[in-house]
Amino acid sequence: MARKSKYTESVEDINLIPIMNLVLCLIPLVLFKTQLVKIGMINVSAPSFGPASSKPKEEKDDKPLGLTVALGKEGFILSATGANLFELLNVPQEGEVSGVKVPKKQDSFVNKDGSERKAVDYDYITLYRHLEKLRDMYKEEKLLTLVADPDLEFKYLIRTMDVARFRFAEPKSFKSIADMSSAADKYKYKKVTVESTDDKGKTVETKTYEPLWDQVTFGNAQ
Amino acid sequence: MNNQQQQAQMQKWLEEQAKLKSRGRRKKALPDDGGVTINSLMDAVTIILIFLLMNFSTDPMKVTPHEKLQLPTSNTQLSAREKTVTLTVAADQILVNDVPVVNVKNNKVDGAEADNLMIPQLKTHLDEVVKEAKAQNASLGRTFKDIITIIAHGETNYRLIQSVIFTAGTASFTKFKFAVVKGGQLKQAI
Repeated sequence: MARKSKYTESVEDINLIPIMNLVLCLIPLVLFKTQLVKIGMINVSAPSFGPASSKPKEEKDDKPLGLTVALGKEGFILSATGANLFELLNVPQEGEVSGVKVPKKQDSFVNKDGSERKAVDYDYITLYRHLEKLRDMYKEEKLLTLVADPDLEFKYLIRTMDVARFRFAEPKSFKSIADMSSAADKYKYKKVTVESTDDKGKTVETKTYEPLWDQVTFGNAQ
Repeated sequence: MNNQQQQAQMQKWLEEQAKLKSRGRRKKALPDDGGVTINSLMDAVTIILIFLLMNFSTDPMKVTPHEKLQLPTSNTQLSAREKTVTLTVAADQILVNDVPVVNVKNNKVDGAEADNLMIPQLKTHLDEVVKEAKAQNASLGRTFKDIITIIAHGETNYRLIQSVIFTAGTASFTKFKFAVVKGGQLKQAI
């Protein structure tokens, strides 16, 4: 029978204490720089807080649309300085109204704890459909002016910008805000190929999401 | 010394040797003499370190949301890429580059006129910030970027946001960015 060498028994474990000290020093350092909340950015163009012109424009094709979405207490109101939106959107004009109204409607929303609740909120789907229609008519237009009731909370403007940012791939299937939200979460937006020049002067084709009304500015509430 | 005594001594010596041998064996059998086993602790600490490293932020802007500064959620994909002047509109005060400038109460700035969009204290402070930034950039041979990041509490009224933007606009800022919390869903109740 082979004898065990007496030296094999005297091998000791690795001393982990210095590594442990190092790791414990690293934890507060990393913890300080760790941001559990991911911060995103939304670009907004310089606003013009001067009085908006409400004169009707005659030549539709040459005049900019000047689209404004107002967030009121009862819903959205779409107006334009360069066109009659009632005609463009096929909406009957009832009385002396300043713009196309998109009243609030009831929908199912999700609370922070995951439970569902019915609430009356802005009709983002109808707004999206109107914006898409106008985008098809005014392909060169990019700027959307947002105005809101002075007491309205800022988070509703952010939500409206989220809806107006990109063109969805299949918006016809949206029946509720949950459908729209699901499409946005999965980035089911239309893609377009954009040509750009790189540092060497070469033309490069890149695929990107098709913008809807992604250039937003804030206006003065009338 | 007779034979019996010799045998007894021998027996005693053998027993002592056996005792010594068994003591040595027992010592070798035990890994530590009451020392703490740090292997499991090491595992836990390593997992924590990896988790923290995964969430390690290299963003130039850091926002710690609290009760008075709950950022609105959004599905935007843009991240903060460059360091800019920050204008924080919390529920109780307005800060420029984390320096408190004016107090806010019920969405109204202390000392500001109700029908005027301009916030005088904020304008004065922003002018100083712009002046300093321009001087710094000039000494480094760079151009001043007129971009301002607005970190606003989600429940701030539009009127106050409008005032803040207007005041920043008069202080020569032309590009505005709004900080939001990424990962917002359209179906979330707000």
